[in-house]
Amino acid sequence: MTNPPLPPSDLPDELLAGRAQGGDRAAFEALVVRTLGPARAFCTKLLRDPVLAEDACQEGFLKAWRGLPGFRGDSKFRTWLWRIFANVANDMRKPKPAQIGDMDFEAIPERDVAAEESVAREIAALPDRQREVLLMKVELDLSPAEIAEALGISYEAVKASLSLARKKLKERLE
Amino acid sequence: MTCDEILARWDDGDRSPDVAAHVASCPDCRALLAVDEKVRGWKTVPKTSEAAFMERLREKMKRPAAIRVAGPSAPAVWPRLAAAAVFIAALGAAFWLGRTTHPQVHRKETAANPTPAPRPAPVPKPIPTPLPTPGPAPQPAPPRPVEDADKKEFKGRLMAAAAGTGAGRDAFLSQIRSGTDRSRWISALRSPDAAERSAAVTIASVARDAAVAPDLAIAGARGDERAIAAIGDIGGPAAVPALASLAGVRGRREAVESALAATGLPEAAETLAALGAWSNEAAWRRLGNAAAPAIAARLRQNGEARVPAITAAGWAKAEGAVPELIKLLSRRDSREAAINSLASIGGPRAAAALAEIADEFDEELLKALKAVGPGREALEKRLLDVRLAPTDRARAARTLVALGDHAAEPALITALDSPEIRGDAALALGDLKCEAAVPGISKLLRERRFRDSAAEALAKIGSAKAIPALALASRDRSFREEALRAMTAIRSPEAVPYMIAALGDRDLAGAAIDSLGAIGDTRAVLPLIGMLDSERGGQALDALRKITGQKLPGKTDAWVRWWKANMKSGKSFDFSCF
Repeated sequence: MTNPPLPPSDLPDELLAGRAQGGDRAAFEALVVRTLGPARAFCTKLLRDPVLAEDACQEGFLKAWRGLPGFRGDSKFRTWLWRIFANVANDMRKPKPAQIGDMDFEAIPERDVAAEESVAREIAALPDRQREVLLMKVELDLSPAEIAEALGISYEAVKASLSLARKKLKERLE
Repeated sequence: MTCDEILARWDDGDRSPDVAAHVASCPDCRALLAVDEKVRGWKTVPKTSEAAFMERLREKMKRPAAIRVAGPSAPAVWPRLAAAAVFIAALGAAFWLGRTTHPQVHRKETAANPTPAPRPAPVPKPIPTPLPTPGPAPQPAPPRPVEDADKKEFKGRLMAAAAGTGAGRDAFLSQIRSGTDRSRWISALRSPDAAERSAAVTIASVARDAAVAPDLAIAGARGDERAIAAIGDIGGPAAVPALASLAGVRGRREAVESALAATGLPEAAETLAALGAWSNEAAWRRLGNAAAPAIAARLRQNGEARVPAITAAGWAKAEGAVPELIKLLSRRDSREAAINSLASIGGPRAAAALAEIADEFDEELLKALKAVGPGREALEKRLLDVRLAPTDRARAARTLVALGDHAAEPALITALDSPEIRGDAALALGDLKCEAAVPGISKLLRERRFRDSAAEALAKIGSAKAIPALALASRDRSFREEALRAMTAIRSPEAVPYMIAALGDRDLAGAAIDSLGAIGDTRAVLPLIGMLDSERGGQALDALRKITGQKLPGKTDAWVRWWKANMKSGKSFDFSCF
């Protein structure tokens, strides 16, 4: 089977989403390719399990594909997509704190692995809500208002969680 | 404005000059924003390549979203099942009415007890609309001669297929399966003609067609027990409701219970539980762990069914009911039954629960722990679990001794390294007479806290290997008596010099004399002769007689003479160690 050709890269997400709503798989695949990086980083860092994160990404994009008729264009496509991802990752979140040891730190050379490991450990030690908000801000580049919308919590709560998470990490990573 | 407020505006995308200037100059704000960079800097490695990811996703996108199908799979079954229920109910009512000649009485009984069976779970619901008389759908009213001949011909083929084997039967079965003769076969199952019905049942048990369960139920209600068994053997979603509809029919109960068990379905267990068939051991055994949900539900309820359900859990070896059984261990009315059930279910979870409550005095529990399989392992786990209270771990050690399983010795030896329970471990090893533990226990003689236990344990083990360590420990005056007492008990030639030394100790002399007599070492002869005039002379004489085999009287002179004549040239005794 030959894969469909990708549409031009300069089209905005929302336009591609509109095409995808009309059944254009290539348009949707282009959206997946555009957003796969942050989606994977977000899921991996939140779930701390690369295999689970991979499944979460598959599930997230599949849900997005099937839920495309529900995207009405009243928010940015990414906000809509990340809301789906926040839900999927939440559903998959393990009840017990995961093993940092599972993470593959050795795979990429020329990095301060020890520093990354300590970042990973400290992120893992954050309360669930704070970790989620911080990762949505940093990895998915969402504004506090968008995070509040995606998680269904108040803007104030997002600001508080974000501020607490940053302060804790700053203190522990110094 | 505070740093928090500035950062909130920054996060909102506000890059106005005052915000930007503050962030640029404030070290705190910059440190906080640097956290984002650190988080981003943690590079994760995806499990698959982008291409592989896309390939997998494409495959999934091609599949339509799953649609949940609820309810029984064969839509054709339910109407017939309902018909079967109506038929069987009518049969039961006819029987009931025929039994009593007083309709008044009957009415009273039914009013007092409107539902004869106690909540049989999947019994088909009352039929919402009146149904026509049960029977195959296309059945023209006036029987015509052609049809009669046709019926006769079918019956002949049916009887032949049921009686025979091989090609004839196979051809008949394939006709049933292809649908040609299916409806006629189904009516034969409901036929009032016993021979025809019996043949149809035989075919059903060969055809293994789960969809005819309701028709088999009618055959069963009419008196064909093989039909009931066939429902159970064939199984399938319609089997349990069909069997439940038969449960109220007099004289069929036993067959129904066996058939329910034969389905091996959790719904069948639910029905058996609802019917209160708790004493049917064979049925529960056959259902096995499929019975766990039904049993666990009864264990959760504080009802009459709880105690019989505990026993049934044991019969079924219902692993799934273990958590509920564990909860019942704390209830006095169900404890014993729960212990027995857990023992017969076995497995690590049951073993762990039993190990948790076990002690050396509870015979029932000890029996259960032996039966449960990994009971020893569960106790060992508790013994070595540093998170548990020392008293609990010590109890595990004593329970292991009570089990008398020497396989527990390595774990107990390991426990000697655990400061909280090493004394208990030593005593346990002593009770098990574990020689391999002697070096480990001997080391404890150096610790003031544990040396009494260690000496006691070494005495029980009775190994000569312990003598040097005990001798060393006996140099401490405050411990001398305990160490010598232990050596006395060991009764080994290596201990003889120490026993001789103990003769001078009022408290130990008696035991030392006995010990020397039992060891039978000639080095003890002269010291014992020296004891003949003491208050322990009689005891010393016994020991001397044992060692030498001489029947001399208890006189010192006589023994000295004998000694000079016989022993003087023998071994001399070296007291230098004291």
